[in-house]
Amino acid sequence: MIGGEDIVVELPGLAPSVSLPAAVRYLLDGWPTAVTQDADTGRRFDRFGEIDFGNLREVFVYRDEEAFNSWERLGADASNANRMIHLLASAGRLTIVVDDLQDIASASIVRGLRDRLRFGMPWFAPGVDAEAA
Amino acid sequence: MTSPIFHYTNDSGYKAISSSPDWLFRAAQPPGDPKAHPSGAYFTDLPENEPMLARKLRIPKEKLRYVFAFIDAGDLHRLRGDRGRYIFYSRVDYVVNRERQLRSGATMIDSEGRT
Repeated sequence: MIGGEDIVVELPGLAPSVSLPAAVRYLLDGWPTAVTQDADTGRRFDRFGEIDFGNLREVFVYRDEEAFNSWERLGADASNANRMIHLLASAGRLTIVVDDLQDIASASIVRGLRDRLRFGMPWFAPGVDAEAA
Repeated sequence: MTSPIFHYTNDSGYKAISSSPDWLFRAAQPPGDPKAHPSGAYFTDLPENEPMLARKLRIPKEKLRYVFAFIDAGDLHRLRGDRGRYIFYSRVDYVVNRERQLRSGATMIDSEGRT
């Protein structure tokens, strides 16, 4: 009764209001026609600028409109594999859920996203004081 | 964990679990990389009217056809990471006796329902 693989990225001191936009921005750079969806309300966003990250803690990012529609219809059907990434943010942590890390594209996205979150925002890198940056 | 615990399944799973007075949820290895999640019996506290249920559990809609609901005994582990807010598991076969059983049967999730 569970699917997917959960990758937990520890980001000490980083608030969800920072980690989640950074993660979504990264995914949208790779999937320019992606659809983002609030996992609690179901509200969809077609552009990064539309997303109100204020209270957002959990989103689904679909590769494109077709993936969005198919997930809506079938859920985690085999035909939908590796076409949606689930992000959950909490204080100091981001969880990335994908279908299969053996999939080369998914593994590449996760690796890139993890590096972006850990090292791509130097003012939030572990051990670096926010004031000093 | 104070809310009811749910286990969603398909037709064959429903028949197997409901075949005895005490429900037996067998521990099994979830699909995919065995290193991703431990072998276990998996549960959630998300009710069937949760609109993103299949997506949050990342299972096919077909596996939401039936549900078992029971009283939490506080003995389940949380999944590692933030899905652990709503996904729990037992590392071994998990038995729910009749005193803890709340209901079982078909869900209201049909082919037109949101997942």
